Amino acid sequence: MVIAESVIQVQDLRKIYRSGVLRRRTVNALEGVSLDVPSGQIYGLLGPNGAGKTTLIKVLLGIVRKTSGDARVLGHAAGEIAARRRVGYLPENHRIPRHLTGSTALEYYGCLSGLSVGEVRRRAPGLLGRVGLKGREHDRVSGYSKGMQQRLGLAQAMLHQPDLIILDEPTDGVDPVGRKQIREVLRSLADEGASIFLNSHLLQEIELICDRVAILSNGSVRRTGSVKELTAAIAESPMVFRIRADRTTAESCFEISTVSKVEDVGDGVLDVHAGLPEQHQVDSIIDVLRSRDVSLLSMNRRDLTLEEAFLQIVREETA
Amino acid sequence: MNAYLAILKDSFREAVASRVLLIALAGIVSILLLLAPFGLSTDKATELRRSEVRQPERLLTRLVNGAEEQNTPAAHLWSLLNDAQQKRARDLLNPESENRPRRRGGPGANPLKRQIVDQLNELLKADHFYDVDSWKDVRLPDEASNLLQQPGLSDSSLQRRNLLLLAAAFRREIDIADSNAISLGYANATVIGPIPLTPSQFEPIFDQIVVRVVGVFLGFLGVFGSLLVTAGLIPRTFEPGEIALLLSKPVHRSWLFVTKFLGGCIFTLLYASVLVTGIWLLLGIRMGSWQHQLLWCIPVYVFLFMVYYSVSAVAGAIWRNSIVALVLVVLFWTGLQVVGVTETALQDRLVNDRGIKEIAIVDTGILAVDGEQNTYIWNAESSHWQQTFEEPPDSMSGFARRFLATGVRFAPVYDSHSDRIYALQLAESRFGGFGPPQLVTGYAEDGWERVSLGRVPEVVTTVLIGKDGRVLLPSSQRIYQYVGQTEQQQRRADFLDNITGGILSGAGKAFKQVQPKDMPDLGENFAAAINPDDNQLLLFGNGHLHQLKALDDGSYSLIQSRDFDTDESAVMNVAGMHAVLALASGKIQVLNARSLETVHEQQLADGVVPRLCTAAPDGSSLAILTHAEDVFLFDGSTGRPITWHPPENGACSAVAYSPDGQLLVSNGRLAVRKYDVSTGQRSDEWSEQTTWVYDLYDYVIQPLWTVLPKPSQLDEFVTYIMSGKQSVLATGTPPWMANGDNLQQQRDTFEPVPVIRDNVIFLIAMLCVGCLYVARRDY
Repeated sequence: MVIAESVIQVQDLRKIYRSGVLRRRTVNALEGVSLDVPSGQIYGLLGPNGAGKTTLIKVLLGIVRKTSGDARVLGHAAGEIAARRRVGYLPENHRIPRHLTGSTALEYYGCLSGLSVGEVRRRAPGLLGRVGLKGREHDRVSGYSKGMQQRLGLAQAMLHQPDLIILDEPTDGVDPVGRKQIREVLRSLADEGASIFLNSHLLQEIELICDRVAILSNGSVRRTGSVKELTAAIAESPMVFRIRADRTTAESCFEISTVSKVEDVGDGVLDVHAGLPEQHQVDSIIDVLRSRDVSLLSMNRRDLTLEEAFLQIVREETA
Repeated sequence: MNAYLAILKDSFREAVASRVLLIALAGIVSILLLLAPFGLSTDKATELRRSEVRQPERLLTRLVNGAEEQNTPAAHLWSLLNDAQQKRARDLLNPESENRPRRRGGPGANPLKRQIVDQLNELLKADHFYDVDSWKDVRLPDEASNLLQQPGLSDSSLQRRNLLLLAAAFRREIDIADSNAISLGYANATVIGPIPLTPSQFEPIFDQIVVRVVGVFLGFLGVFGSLLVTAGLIPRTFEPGEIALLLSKPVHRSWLFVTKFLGGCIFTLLYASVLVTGIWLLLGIRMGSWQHQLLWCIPVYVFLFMVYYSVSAVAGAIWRNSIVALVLVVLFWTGLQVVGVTETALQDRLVNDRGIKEIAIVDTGILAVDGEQNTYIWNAESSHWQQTFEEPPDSMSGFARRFLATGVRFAPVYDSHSDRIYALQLAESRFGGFGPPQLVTGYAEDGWERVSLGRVPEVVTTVLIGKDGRVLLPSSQRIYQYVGQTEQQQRRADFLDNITGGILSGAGKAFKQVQPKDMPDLGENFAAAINPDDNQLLLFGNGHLHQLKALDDGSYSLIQSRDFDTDESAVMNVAGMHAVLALASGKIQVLNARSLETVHEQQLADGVVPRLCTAAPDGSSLAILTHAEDVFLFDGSTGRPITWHPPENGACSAVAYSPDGQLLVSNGRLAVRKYDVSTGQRSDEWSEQTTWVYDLYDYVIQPLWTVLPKPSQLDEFVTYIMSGKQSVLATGTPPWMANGDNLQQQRDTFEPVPVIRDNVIFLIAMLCVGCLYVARRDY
């Protein structure tokens, strides 16, 4: 198995969709995306609707043609057959032909991926068991629930033991138990050396399993890093003031617009969460608290949740 | 490769999973099971068939004359008829009787024959059909003799015996072509039997029925049923959820499209294989007719489906909607039908009906005959063809003439000695059907008014004019010379001709027999030519070429014969030192006109059938016109082929020579052009201005027809496969008039290569469009 340093390298990638009879209407789906996905990691791709996440994945797989820029997958130009041979893909809202059963679907997609029928038959039982479809392999796909179809889709993406697995909303429609199962499968795949590129709306999902994350908005990458890096305390993080005061006094000390939350922690102690990005704002609050004889027990900036970090980044973008 | 096989396999799975396929297959199997009890059985013929009565009028006359005879088969059979039957028989011969049969079933039908055959078949059931004294002078076949010695014959054996006795007694009038008769049965019951056709007559009809059955089930129901089922296959594949998954696999987009397309064809392949193999097995097992060529229907109809499905596949890939794909296929089919029907109708009207088919040069100008056998003379002042030499107003329609009169070539022949033209005109018998033709003439000084010279005593097909102006009419066993008759003889002839309905030609005295005593039998389809230098006759028939020399008294003597070891018919002509003989198979032999030795041989392309031969009066060259409308020229002095061809080749519908040896050809329309064969230069032209309908045909319909595929012609391809014949009689020729060996009859030449080529080009073009679209599209 050839392991590249980066499984995905994208440089200034642009995609313009054209439509209309004269193809004059244009939509800029990707506007200079640059990205580097290291191998052996679970890499998450986040972004609001219409950010260009699916387009980026489709460009990587050659399903959509790039307008300009460079995109390489496993060292090959994006879309090359050699690259696709080493990639497993689970598209969003995929549709597996309804006349197939679980096992014939794996046989079909396995052969499409270059495996022999014998090889597929050898691998299929274990794989179906791994994704939780054991005992349903001879049922028609038309009788599968959404979650079962997702599991089967995941199985076909893993079948040929690819170096890179690209998953677009893999847990869509899957129940919480199933999600946990899928997370475990992905983690074990990563442990086995596979790289996983994951696109999901479920921030919690990303937060739980991704080693690194890229946030895409309006067709360009806004931020990349580990989850920890993205959620680490920054100036924009809320300040948490632990004070001994009643709620009325406390509220009179802060500008109401800056307070995001007031928590009563007991014994007349309150935690006031306030957005104070500038140091002079923090200083003036301290002055106000002192002037009103409010005891300041502690003061610190809190880490963001991934959701907060994501929203903040997107909000910055909108602003 | 593994990936694409997987796609094909998946298509097969999808087809099997489809309920429609199962229902269709169940339907086919049910139909085959229903058809399975049908079977053909062959027994000894026990009934007289209409086609076996060669001369019904003569047969009836002999029977009626039996009333006056004693101890003859005719007398005995006459005595077996009751009074009513005898009266009826007499009525049949009496043209004034109200009981005389009226013609039904269009020109050519012969109700007299039907009635005679019905009455005789009733007689065959009689126990006392045979009378020793009556048959004592009749030579009986062995089978009849054996049956006569057997006591207590069954009904069928009795009928068989009587049939043989009848045929032996009336050898000239009845020809039992085949001793077997076919019956159609269902399980153990006889449904139709015996069929009133000989096995050899029944075989092509049976093949046609099989082709039609396969055509209906596969060509229409099969193909459109398959289109209905497979219309959704490609749109489903290109739905966003499925195509993204497929394109992420290491497969080429174009091959994915092509493989999915081929996968769709599996459905039709299954359907066609089951149906055709089932019919093939049924025919083989139940009817003993193992028609292996029938199996070719499977790839042919799958190919037909592929042509239509290519439209559906491309539409499905573009719009991803099965309804749109289906509607476009129906529109495509309708468009092809409209263009095809328009093309056929216009070609029929402009080329087959109105196009010039014969040319004759006369002293005062040029004559032309169109497809409906109307004669025209060129009017130089108004530059158009003006009708002349017209038929009487009560004669048959041009349409009927085109289809029915094709056995007799209506080609005016100019006699410069008397400045008049001769031609043979098909003449209907009073009782229906067609008798021998009439010789008609027209003088230049009378404005080419058509005058009948009387009915020729026998069937003749050619008028030959000798260098001294003699008019010769060879038949299969005789040679007649038209010698004319007095006005009184003419009136008597007309009367006799009228009352016998043409059975006995009253014009007998006008036609003098000049054949040699040892005149060979030329058979039904023969060719004849006269050498304008010395009046020598060449006759070709039954595979032999006979050379006849003109004697001083006007009769002919046989000089020599040459056996060509063939049973083919031919066309022939002679001029100067050489004769050219073109066989139906397209083998051309240029012969020394004196020694009959071959000086040059040439084989025309496969399926090209010669239509006529003509020769320059000065013997400088000879020309062969084929049914493919090509002209082949030969040098009259060396016998070698001339490399130059007229530019009209491929659309040349008539060819003739001017007195000075220049070649006249028609362009298939309203133009005749004159060429100097030695230089290839055009020296004259007679061309009428065509109307806008011709422009519509030339610049719109025909280019469209050329460019568009012709899937409907694959039906003809199947007929071609089944019959193995490229050149067949024109569509619509009534079976009773069809004579496959008559080279002068209008023919449809089927060209398999262009049909396959055009459809393959279209199929490839559509698949390329589909591949290009799929390869460039973002999904």
